[in-house]
Amino acid sequence: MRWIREHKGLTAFLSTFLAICIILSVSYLSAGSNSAVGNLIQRGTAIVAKPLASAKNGVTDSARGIFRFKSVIDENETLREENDRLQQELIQSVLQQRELQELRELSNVLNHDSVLGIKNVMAANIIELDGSNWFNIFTIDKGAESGIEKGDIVVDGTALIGRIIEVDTGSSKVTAIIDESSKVSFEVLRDLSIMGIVQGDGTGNLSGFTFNGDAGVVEGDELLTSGIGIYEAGIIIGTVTAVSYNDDTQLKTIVVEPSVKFNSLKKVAVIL
Amino acid sequence: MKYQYAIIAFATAFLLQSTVLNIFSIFGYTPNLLLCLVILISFLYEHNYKGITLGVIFGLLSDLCFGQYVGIAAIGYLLVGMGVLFTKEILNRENFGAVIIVTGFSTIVYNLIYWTISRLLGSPYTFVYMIKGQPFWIAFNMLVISIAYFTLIGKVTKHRRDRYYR
Repeated sequence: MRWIREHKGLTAFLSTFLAICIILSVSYLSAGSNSAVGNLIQRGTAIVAKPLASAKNGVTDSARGIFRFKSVIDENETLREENDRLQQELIQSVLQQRELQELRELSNVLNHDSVLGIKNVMAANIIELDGSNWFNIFTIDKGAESGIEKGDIVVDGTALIGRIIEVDTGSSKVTAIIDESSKVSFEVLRDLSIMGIVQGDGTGNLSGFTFNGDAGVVEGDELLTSGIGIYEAGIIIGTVTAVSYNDDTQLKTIVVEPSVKFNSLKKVAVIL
Repeated sequence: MKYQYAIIAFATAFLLQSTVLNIFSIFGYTPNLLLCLVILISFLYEHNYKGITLGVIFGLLSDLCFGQYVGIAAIGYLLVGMGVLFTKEILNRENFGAVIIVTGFSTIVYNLIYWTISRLLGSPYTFVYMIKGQPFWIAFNMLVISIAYFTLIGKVTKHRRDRYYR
């Protein structure tokens, strides 16, 4: 006791260090399970982060609009033309929808099981980005109440973003495919027999290899998920930007630019 | 620095880090505002454990929200903060160069601690990945510390150009 009184600073340091080590050990042993405290804080920060995220997006968009007014006008013109074209397509689509509805009704009458696994998609906003500089994890504003589950796939339109790693009420954490810990099995769109694995290389791109060293993968090839592993088949991953042959491993290594622009990502879709 | 000001500073840094700061990222790297506050408060203020205490608390919060394991950032801030407290005994804390050197070393030490513990716990992040980001992290943290340092100096001495201070 006397020693503790004489070395208050050192005692405080050692006890704090010990306490954090215990917390770290507990966290390591219970990795993956959602802690009640963690969820509570996550919920609290999500409440604060939601308006901040929308304010941030508003400021960014306004600033971009001021400095790029000329290109915004051109973009506006292009969008008008596209809008006219889309309206025409919409009319066609409505007619086709009616036809599809009729065919579905017919399908039900005939007890036919669809070969297409039609799934629900949930749109969500990104409210927090990882601030640690280490992981490519972000938080979205939809959670368990929307039917989101751990392992669900997150996409941007048709391109792959990542997967849900943690679900809470009102928010979920997503790890991006550009994270070094994410591995994605792929096939080449041009030749579906060429397969391999890519993972984040720490620079915002993906790098990986093909299973066959003689595979004819070339720059510009588009990669899709192969369906092996956690990601279902047919989701766009990105475009091959470099190909080289590794003599040691006798594998063709590739560098891939993801189709998703992770820096400007605001909205995502979760496949339920 | 009063505790309430320090808490407000840390809370603001914590919120900015995960939201607005990502707009200003270069190649995905951003300054570590919590680390900057730990260094600044520990180095500039007399007999001050506030930087370390709040660093540990907000480090735990940050790990709870974003990290894979809870406590890595807190250990980093604790060890860096203690290191800075010892360093200020040998360096002149009124010298801007000393502040910059301490920031650079602290950033490297913090990232080494973070990487080592993550690696021991099975993280796949390679040493090269950690080293690659060092120049950006150091430069960003130095920039933030410089701005904060001159803001604080400006508040303490209103008329620095006055001959009294020369």
